Amino acid sequence: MTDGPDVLGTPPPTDHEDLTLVSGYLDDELDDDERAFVEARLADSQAWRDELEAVRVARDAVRALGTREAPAGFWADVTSAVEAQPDAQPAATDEPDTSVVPITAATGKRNRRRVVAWVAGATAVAASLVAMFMIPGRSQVRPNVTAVATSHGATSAKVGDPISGLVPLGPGREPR
Amino acid sequence: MTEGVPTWEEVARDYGRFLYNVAYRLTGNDDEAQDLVQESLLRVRRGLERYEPGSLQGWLARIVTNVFLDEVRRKRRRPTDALPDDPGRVLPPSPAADQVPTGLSTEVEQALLALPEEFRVPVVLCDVSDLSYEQIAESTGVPIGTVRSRIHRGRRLLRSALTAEGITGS
Repeated sequence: MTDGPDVLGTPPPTDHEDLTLVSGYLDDELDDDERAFVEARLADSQAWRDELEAVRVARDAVRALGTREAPAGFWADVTSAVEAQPDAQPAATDEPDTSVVPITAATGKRNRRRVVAWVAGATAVAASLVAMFMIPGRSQVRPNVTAVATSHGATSAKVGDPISGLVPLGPGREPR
Repeated sequence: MTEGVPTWEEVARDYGRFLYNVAYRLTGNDDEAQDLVQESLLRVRRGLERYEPGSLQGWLARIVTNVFLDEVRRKRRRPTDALPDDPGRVLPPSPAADQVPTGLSTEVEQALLALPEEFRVPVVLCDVSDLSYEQIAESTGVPIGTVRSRIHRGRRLLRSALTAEGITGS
């Protein structure tokens, strides 16, 4: 531990041994060798005993906080809110629900966005190809535009429409 | 419901208290804790199909931690965002917001909240959620040695803060 003296004036241990073992010892998270090592230090070092006491006090203070209860009505509200959400899978650009992403790393999301962009591009190309082969050619178009224009022009000419009277012009028609 | 896999409603019913308490200790206020729990339950609902029966509490702690860290990242990117004015907010303001328990817990809560996230998260997961170092390592994506180090440093900082407040003696 390289921290300076705390406000109590208790100097931190000056050796370079791993004092974080003290918290591991307190939480029963050490293997047998580590536990034996810590116990030996605690037996002969006041600094190690002070360290153990310091973290024990902090741990007990947090554990003594007790359980914070949600406000009245919260669970009914949150249940309704969650139920109201569409029952859909996460969007492709979402973080995986249960994955862990360190604060400093977002490369996974960027990579996922690249994949989504690639898929979107490929889909657009595929749609274009489908359109090229599936959209009917001019000869297949119904109704027959030439026939409709001819019929409309003939009708309009009879009522004196000078513009419509210029039509029909199209394949197979003799110019006037 | 698949064998051994609860529904999200069952998770909310049986583990809601746990989720809320962790969320509150991470955020330090009821409004953000409510948002955190709601988003966590949404992720639970979406992720249950992929849940493999095991430590459900550890899995939930992992989710709520991820949601919390996502929010921390979002705030760092856009620090001017004001959550209370968020039109997408579904839940009403909490009637218990800003109410703090009496006694020493107020100072302890403040000291805990003052810890940087990198220390507060493992301390909360250890001392509030009662997760093992291994589960905390899985939840936070850091090695167990780092978890131990952060818990220890977090506790040292807490002790110093509490001593400065006159809460603890030498």
